[in-house]
Amino acid sequence: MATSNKTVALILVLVAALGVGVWLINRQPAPPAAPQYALRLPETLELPDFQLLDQDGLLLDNDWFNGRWTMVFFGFTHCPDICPATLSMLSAARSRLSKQRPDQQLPDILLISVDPGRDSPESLKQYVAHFGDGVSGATGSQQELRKLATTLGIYFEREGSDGYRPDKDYNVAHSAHVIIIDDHGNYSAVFGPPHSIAAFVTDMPVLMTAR
Amino acid sequence: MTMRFPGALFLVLVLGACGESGPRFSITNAEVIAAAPGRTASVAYLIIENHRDEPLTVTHIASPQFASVEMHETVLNNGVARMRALSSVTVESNASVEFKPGGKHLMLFGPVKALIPGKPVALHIQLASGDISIVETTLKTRHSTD
Repeated sequence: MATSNKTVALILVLVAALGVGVWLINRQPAPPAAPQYALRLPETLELPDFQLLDQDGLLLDNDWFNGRWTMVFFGFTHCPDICPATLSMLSAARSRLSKQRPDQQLPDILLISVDPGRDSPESLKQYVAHFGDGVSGATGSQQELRKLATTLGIYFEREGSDGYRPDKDYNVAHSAHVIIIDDHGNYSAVFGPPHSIAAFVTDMPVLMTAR
Repeated sequence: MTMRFPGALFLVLVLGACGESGPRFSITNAEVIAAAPGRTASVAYLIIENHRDEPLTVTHIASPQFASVEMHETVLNNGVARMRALSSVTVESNASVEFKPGGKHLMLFGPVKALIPGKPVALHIQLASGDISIVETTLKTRHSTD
């Protein structure tokens, strides 16, 4: 009888211990979801000090990114295909996020023109307005553009040029990645081409979650 | 509006593209997107379908609504986008070639009149054989929301 009582007690202790264990596991916060399309940097990367001009001709520097998440695309307004297509996708994704998450912060969109010879702040203002809310434009000197682009792993080069000339019919080869800058102004993640609206809609809420 | 080719010639050429077994090729999903404000090049996308057992080659595209139309291709190499002009595009037998964002596309320059969304735009697609197919669509703008 004593042995039987001990066995029962042992079983009860084990069951209780199991129950406590299950409770503790469920009490732990779920690990953060991982992005499905974007590459999230293991650690955010600080940007170099830079100075550009926005579409209003005002200074756009590192401070501009504070307090907002930004989807950054390097392109140029004379680009007929991939640049407007990407901006349209980013804008559409932002619009979908605003409907799906009406109480959440929305990411902003920034087009950085790698064609300062043709893309003045005035032309950028007219151009980005075409793509809806939350879209800004910026450009600057070749030196400032190179400094920022190099840190972000972005390539750009005017094609067929022996030097800078304000000819109208040249193209600019450029990386088609979308760079994610977090609300502290650091490089946080990157989307590689080809892009889709679904990729941004799926991953931006995940990326905008605190690390 | 002044047509770039005589209307009768259009009809003859369109009929010439058809054989006893139906049209040699067809154009679907055509869309023309107006240039952004301040920019000069509109863009067009479409699908060219070859219905025959031999390849066809598109050598020229024109539009009555634009002074010139060019074929181009965005090429992505290691994530870097470059644009290349295309002098011709070949569609293999019983296959199709899609002009789509990030790939092959048409650039349309010199609108004859102001670009007004909803207005008709015609594309005349000509083959090396001389056959022409005409497709009509309406002008669109880039939508910021879907």
